[in-house]
Amino acid sequence: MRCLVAADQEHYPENSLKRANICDELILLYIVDRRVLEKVRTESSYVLPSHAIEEMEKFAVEMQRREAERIANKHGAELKFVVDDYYAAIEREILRISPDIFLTDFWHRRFLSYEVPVWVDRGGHISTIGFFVGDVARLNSVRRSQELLADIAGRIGADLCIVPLKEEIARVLPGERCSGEPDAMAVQRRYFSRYRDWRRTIVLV
Amino acid sequence: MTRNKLLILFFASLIPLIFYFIPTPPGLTYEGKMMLAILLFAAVLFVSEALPLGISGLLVMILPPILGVFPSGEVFSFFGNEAVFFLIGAFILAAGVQKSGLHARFAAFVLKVFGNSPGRFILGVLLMGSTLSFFMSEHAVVALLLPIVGFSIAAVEKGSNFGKASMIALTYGCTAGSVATLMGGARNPYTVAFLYENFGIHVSFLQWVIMALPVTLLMIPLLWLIITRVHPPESVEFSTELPSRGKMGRKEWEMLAVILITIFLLLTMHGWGIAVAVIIGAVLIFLLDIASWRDVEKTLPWGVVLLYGGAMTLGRGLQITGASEWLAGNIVAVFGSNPNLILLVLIVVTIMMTEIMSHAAAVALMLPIGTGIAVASGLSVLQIAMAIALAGGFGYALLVGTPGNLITYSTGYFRQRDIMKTGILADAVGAIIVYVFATVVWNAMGVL
Repeated sequence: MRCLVAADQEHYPENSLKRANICDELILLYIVDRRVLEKVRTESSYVLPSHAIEEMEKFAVEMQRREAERIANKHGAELKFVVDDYYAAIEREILRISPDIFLTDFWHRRFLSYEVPVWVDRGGHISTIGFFVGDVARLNSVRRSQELLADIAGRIGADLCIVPLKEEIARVLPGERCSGEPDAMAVQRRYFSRYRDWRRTIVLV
Repeated sequence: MTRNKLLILFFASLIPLIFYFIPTPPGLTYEGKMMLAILLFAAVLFVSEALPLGISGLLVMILPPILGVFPSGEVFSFFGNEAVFFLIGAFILAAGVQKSGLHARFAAFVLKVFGNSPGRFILGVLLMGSTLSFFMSEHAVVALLLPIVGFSIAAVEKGSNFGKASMIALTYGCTAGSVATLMGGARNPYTVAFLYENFGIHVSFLQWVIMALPVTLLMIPLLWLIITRVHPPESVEFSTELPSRGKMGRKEWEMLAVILITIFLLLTMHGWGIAVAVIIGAVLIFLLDIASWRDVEKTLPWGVVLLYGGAMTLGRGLQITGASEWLAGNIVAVFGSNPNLILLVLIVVTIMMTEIMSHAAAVALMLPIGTGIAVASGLSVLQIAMAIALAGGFGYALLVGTPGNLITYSTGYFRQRDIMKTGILADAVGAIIVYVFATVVWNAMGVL
């Protein structure tokens, strides 16, 4: 399984990096937010000469690169270091390397536009994975996602439950192995039901 | 230029137009009304930074002749002032310090003395930043010390409290030090010039130091306490052995002598004003071949000088047209004339303004209003002006509070919320200290 994890100075994906030991291949995308550097340039331009600003910028990027290398080495990840907009950089990297899953610690609506399953990892032990589907009858059309989740469930030793969104009453269809908690699933199902336009698999833990 | 900035400029340009057509209120002249429009226009430009601040300063200078407030000759004469030459001289001195490497020598010394524990290291960074900001622009000091502090904490993981505290201490030290002398920030010589041009009050370099230095000396340990309590540094490996610079070279000794001579002249030759001594120092740098004109060109931030022109236009224009007096009279009529309350509100408002705009711009906007209020309510103009100038040197909480905050943030050692936690406390402590100095200490010292 090829995993992509993105980090910048505001978003350090601690849970995702811990979880990434289940991945066969881990790519760490470290992003230096271009807008921050632009802001530094704008705010400093009247008090510092451009030469000093350029030097400072180089130094700041170099410091971030060192940090990126340290994180990548610590987690045995392949490093991709970019100066770019956070979300745009992730989108580009997803198109470039086609990972099996994108791991992140926080949720942002913009993730919906990514052409890849997104795992928002809140950390801690996972005993059950809920797979929420619009229509069980059309489960075949999301076969790849189901296989991916079954793979993940196997790697972390969790149960996989397939939960139909259309059902009024909480009912958990058994996945490969399922001894889940229907009440908790019902709450999450109500949450997911609000987003009918979701097209890709989102794994919430 | 982005669409948002264009929109801001469009709406800002409507301000003078609207003021032109609205009737002039009783007690205010046409010129005063239009100066208030320029004040509002400048505030929008300074906050939004729709244009580079230096260009905004120039724009503020050309508006009075366009709107028929002052003839162009009079407006541009506001610029011809010793504070401008003080600023230029101070920047040349800073270029000399940078070229000679004296700052790095000093930083290495301080880090060696203070570097035997994480807590002491953070105090050392604060002291290093603040002391250098006595002689150079605070922003230049942050830029110069960044690689030095960065080198020391290179092995420290980001996200660690020690890394956060070190970088926050760097920007805070420079900010706290910048208020102590006239060289730390352009707003300081601007305040001196404003007081002299508008009220005939002469504040010498020594008098400024006597009033402001104790504020810095009190802030440093308090900032250290705040930083180390909010982000208690862990016991980590860090280096205080900077790359060896060998023995102190001839240029460094010469530069040290130039600084000492300049400070001596500033402290003793009161009749020379503030610019003469600094320009003598600047000339000495060339006589001793410490730096070349090319070095000076590399370090001279013209934006500050141009912004100064706009600030002087605002200050003098509001004063001469009676607009600041009219505005202050109305503020006092609405909010009352309790001197302590007025002072506190002015300090707090100035600090809040420094969090969203440049320090110099905040002081430029607040000084004419604050001193107008002082006159209207019978307060000491010097007391109010100094309180505003010192409060205008803060801006600890937000990244845009001062370029130093953003510069250190860009290294990735801390997050926005990390500096907010310490900054809100630091701003509050700073406000209290300035308030106590303005109401009690300066009176007790007999400097008002």
